[in-house]
Amino acid sequence: MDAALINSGAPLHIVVLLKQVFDPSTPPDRIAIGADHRSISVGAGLTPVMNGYDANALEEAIRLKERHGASVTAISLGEEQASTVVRRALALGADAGVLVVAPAGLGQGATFTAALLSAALKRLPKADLVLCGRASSDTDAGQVPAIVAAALDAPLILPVSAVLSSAEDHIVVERLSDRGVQRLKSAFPCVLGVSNEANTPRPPSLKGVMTAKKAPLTIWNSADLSVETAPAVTLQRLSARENVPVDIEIIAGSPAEAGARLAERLVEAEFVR
Amino acid sequence: MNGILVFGNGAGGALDPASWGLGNLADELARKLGGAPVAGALVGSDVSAAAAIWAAGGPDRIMLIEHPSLAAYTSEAYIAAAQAIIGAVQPRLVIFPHSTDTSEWVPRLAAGLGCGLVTACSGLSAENARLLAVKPVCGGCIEASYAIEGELQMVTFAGSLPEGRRQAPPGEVVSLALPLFTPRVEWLADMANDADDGPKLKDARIVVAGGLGIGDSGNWLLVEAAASALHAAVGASRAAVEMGWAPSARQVGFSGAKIAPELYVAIGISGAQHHMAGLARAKTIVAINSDPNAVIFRHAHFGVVGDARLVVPAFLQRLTELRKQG
Ligand SMILES: Cc1cc2nc3c(=O)[nH]c(=O)nc-3n(C[C@H](O)[C@H](O)[C@H](O)COP(=O)(O)OP(=O)(O)OC[C@H]3O[C@@H](n4cnc5c(N)ncnc54)[C@H](O)[C@@H]3O)c2cc1C
Repeated sequence: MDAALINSGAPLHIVVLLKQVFDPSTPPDRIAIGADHRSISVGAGLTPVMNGYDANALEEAIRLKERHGASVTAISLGEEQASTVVRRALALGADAGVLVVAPAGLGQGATFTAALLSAALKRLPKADLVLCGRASSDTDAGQVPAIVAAALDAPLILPVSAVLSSAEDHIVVERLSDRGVQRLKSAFPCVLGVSNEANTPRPPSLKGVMTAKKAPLTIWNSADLSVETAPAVTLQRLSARENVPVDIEIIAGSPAEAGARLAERLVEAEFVR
Repeated sequence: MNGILVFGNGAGGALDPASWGLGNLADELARKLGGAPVAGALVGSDVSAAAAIWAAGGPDRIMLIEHPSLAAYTSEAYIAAAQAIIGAVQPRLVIFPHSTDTSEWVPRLAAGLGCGLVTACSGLSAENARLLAVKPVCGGCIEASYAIEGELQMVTFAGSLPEGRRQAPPGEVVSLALPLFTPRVEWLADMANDADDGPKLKDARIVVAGGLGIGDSGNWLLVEAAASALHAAVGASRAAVEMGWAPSARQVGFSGAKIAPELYVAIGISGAQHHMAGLARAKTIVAINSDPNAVIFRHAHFGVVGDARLVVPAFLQRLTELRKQG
């Protein structure tokens, strides 16, 4: 066992799963589909980022650490450059960082990714709480948290919009539901898929960034973790969605004139009676 | 058996109308798969009336699990119920409606059973008996097509549904017991979205939505006033929801509601692809935005370039006048 991974006797061990994704604010015209039709590349000069919901999960982990003295391990699965998101987690206060080196492109099925992450989790001190984002912004599949939960035989709660309280053996959260918000209490271990409603992630401090630069990372590859899975879903093809150009009628005039004219146009077009 | 099982929704004597469409979707697919049988499923505390309604014009067989403990949704209970139904029906494909709740329990169910799942898909087809599911990825600018492998396959469906009801003798309703399970998540409370008496976002004919450009919670009243004047549902961008101006149930977009109104009025919304991903099926879009270069104008049919705080009051006043005249 790696020294950096040994649980310091803190009451709670939290593992956060982090994915590096292309910046979701990338304009669509800078996203190109590869010749294999199963991958994408984004324009030069665009740096990948931590998946937004994962940043919310990490923030929740840090808050729990601040409140309860939990120990936090951050794991990311991806190519070498995904170490950036692990270091960011360390800069923000995670105690240990693990990089699982494996491809994480759009063609990678959730089954394999989650199997590797579950294998990594099982090598670490037992996690009481696994925090993930509710989905990743590239595939929008939201399946890795569920497969990891199944591998740990743990319940999954998602999308978590607030963490209310936690104690030695349970956590109380709010979750968005079809009808509103529900309040739930889960025993540990459990997996939470955190949503953007939960918090606003803090930026790392300069000191944190400097320390994290030198911090040791644990690096495992898929051979180390020796998992075997058959893909349950295989990506066949990516295609660009055509944007049908729209003929726009700009309603001219001062804001007040244009507002009045808009009312007239909507009545004329019989949208409004 | 290699049939299709489709989950509907119902409560308190009513069937969620989307259940009809989901049944039709299953029927279309069943024909492509050489006449596979289609069964429906309903789970809840008060769903037998809905089952009878659905059976009268929908699938030949409706599987029902009714139990008081299903009154409030909890994933573990729904998973236990669905497992029992799947065990009884032995389908090849299970179709679920895509919703916040199914985005929690269906992936966990599929993971527990080790079967392939595509979430939030917008289209389904069969190619040489192989199922292909299509869904938007990368914020909605790319469509991905996936083949689902294995003997048991699942999808949550978020696309448009074929309309109509079947003219056939009523199907049978088969009731199953909720299996015993040990919950690890305790349900404490459900807080319904504020007593919303306005039209529902999902099936509104007109939606008036506001974004960050509205500026503050006081100005948000303009969005609500415009919605009520147009008998419209209120919608919001994620940025507006994050500001707390509207509850998250009002969010339109990639991670919010995907809607199909006749008219969508976007006020102070920039038109980010994640937002537009909720509007692929909107017919006419009106944009009010102070920035003439805002991306929303590329998608809109009517545009007003101007400060919403001035445009909207003038719009409302003129609308009142026109109604008096009309
Ligand atoms: C994974 C993921 C999922 C997402 N899901 C969603 C989703 O489901 N729905 C969603 O909406 N977003 C979603 N987003 C966020 C999305 O990318 C945008 O950030 C968001 O839609 C922007 O909201 P906005 O248009 O209100 O704000 P902004 O982009 O800030 O736009 C505000 C607009 O208001 C205009 N404005 C300013 N002042 C005025 C004024 N006085 N009068 C008139 N106009 C004015 C500005 O010109 C600007 O165009 C998601 C993002 C990610 C990463």
